[in-house]
Amino acid sequence: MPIQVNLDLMLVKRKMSLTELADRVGITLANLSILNTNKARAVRFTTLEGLCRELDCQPGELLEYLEENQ
Amino acid sequence: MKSKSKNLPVRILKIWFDVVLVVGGAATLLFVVWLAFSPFLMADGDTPADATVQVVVGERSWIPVFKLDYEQIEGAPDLEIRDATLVKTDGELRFVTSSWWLHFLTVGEIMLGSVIILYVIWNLRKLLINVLDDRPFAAANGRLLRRSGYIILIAAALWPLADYALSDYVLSTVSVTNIDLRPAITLEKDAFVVGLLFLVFGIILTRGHELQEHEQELEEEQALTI
Repeated sequence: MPIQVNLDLMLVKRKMSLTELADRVGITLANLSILNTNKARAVRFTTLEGLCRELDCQPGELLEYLEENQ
Repeated sequence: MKSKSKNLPVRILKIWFDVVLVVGGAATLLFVVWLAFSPFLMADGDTPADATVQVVVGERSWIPVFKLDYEQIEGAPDLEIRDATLVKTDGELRFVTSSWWLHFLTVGEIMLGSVIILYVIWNLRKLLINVLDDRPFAAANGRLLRRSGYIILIAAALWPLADYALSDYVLSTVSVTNIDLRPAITLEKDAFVVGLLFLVFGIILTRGHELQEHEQELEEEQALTI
């Protein structure tokens, strides 16, 4: 998947745990883990909105496009 | 999520196919072996065997016609009959022959027909096993039905031609006095319809399989949408 989710980086920056973020955004820890491990096939705008709101960031800071060979 | 009660008819049908395959296969094998070797077992060393060719009496057309001579119709004046014609006089000329090749041709025809029937039943049995495994729209099911359909259609097309060729050969060699016999083409209409049905259902199952796969992909994507 060439789209990388940089959730770990943002969580470290905001000193927040995955469980706390899941609670704040209102999604399950399992789903957030899928997102965190780059196994997700798609992200809802509502989820992205919640993540940006709670992490105080822009979508571009969470998502990164990587070339296939990288 | 298996439902044994719902699958009961399928289970019964599968058992029936099992029995047909075992009993039918064994009986066919025994029958063919017996037919093939029967000439050798005869005490006098003769090789009599029945052979049948498809014939039509009279002129070959869409409706076979055999014109009768006025003299042939006894009692015609009583009903003031002036002319008579035999129509639709398709039939079989059955004879006992000592010809080896005709004998083995008969055996081969029986064997080939039986093999085709057993093969179709074998395919249907495999299809039922997939249904019992809760995979009615498995990719193999459509393939099995289509393959059976093609074989039935090919057999239905080639069988009359083979019959015609044999009848033509026999009737070019022998003739029956006073009866105008010609080789007949007997179309296997029922087999054609069955073959087409197999094909249609095979196509439906294949399409069902494609749609099911598409649905599963969508479900998977949905599950991984956060």
